[in-house]
Amino acid sequence: MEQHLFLIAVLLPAAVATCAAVLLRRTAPRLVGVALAAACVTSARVQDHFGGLPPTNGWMWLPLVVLLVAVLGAAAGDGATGRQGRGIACVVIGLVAALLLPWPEWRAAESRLLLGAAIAACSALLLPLGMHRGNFSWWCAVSLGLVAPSVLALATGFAKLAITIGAVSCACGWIGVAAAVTRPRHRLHAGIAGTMVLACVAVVGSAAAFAFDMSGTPAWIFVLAAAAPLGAWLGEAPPFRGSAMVSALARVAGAAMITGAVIWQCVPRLMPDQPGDAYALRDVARPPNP
Amino acid sequence: MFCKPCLIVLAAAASIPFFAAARPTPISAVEPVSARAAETWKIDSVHSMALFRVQHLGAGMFWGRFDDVQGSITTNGDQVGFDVMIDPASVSSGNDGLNGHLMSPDFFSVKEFPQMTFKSGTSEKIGSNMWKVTGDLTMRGVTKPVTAMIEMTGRADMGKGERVGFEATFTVDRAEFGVTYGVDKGAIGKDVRVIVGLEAVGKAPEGKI
Repeated sequence: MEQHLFLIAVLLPAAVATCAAVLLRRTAPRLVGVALAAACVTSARVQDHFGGLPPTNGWMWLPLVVLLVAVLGAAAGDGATGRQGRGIACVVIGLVAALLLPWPEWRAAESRLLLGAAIAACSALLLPLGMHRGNFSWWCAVSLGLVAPSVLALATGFAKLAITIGAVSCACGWIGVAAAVTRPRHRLHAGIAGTMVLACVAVVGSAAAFAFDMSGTPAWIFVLAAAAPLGAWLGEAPPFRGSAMVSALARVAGAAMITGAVIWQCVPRLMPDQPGDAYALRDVARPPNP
Repeated sequence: MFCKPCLIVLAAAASIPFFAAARPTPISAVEPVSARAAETWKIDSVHSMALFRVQHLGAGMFWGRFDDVQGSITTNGDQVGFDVMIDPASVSSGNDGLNGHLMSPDFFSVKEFPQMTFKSGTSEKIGSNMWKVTGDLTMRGVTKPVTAMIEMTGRADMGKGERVGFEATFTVDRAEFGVTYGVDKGAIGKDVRVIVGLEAVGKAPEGKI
């Protein structure tokens, strides 16, 4: 039953985005954000067997914060149309999210401020793309970008977080498929709420992996993973803007390159000499007895 | 002055008290706990550990251990009391990668919950060296009552302070403590058997623990 819920959570945002774009054109982006947050919440809560609220496990605040960001983003939707309004929305959401997270490494005021600023900055940088690019390449780039924090979480030994971020990445991939199917009539924009959810999942997901990491992974890899969705900006670079096809390819390639760099750094941790996950078999050859 | 055989006999006689003191006293020969006054023992963390056993992929039993076990034991008449603290970051499986996974929030979440504790409540003597002890186990911020079977494994003074040994065995449902990773499909068993080997010292000579 719980596995079925997980599948529904991954497919739901694509269904909501398609239906909303076709039936409710103006409010569609708001619903996409909430549906993406619902995918994050469901995938995390399924793994925690729908434990009590407020959660006793600190990392379970991640999906709740993402849901709050989606609701705030959806509420800010109409009021934050201008550049200034969007900037204020990003800062407010970043600070609210950072204040709520009770994680080790992020408890000090300056750490929370840094995390809030990172969420706000990532949201602000992604917003111009999220509000205007609703095509397959954008969703594909974001989906690839979220693979980076997911793989990093797995490499640091935090499989539940990896699955949660992976679920949102997967949901983005399905929205991309829906965008490809429904084009050119409908564009499935992420809108303010959806873009903020994506930025929040990337930044807060990486911050969670960093907070609980015991493997000594360098901090810059977490920063790179958080910034992976921003690789989509490569499609807006002057050399690639001329052609829609080249721009789309560059968008995907930009996110793929950053994600590839993160995976490259994680490979030795994911595939060490000795198998290291809870399901692995110990098949290392032992030296013969003297 | 003395002939050689006499010297050997004298030397052997003189060494009897030394050997008698050095040899561990069997439990049957020690003064029963009930006859003693209340005593508090400090757990020797170097010679104490906690082992856990859980079924892996529905097949074999996987064993892990915690190396850092601290706390105190009280003995008072027929009653025994335990106040044990375990550092989950001392978990050891013999595999670095697996140790990292065990320390993550998937299992013990050591950064968030840096201590596991067991505080005993009531104890019932059920044999000459056996007790049934009920107490509160706190793991990952969740406290649940557990009942442990505890055996006194020995008591001796071999020149490094009087020492007492206990072995506790109990089973916990890890899902009750929020450790749910791998429970869904039974990939990793839900019931975990825990065996805690404790050695504690009474009045230890300076620097001899």
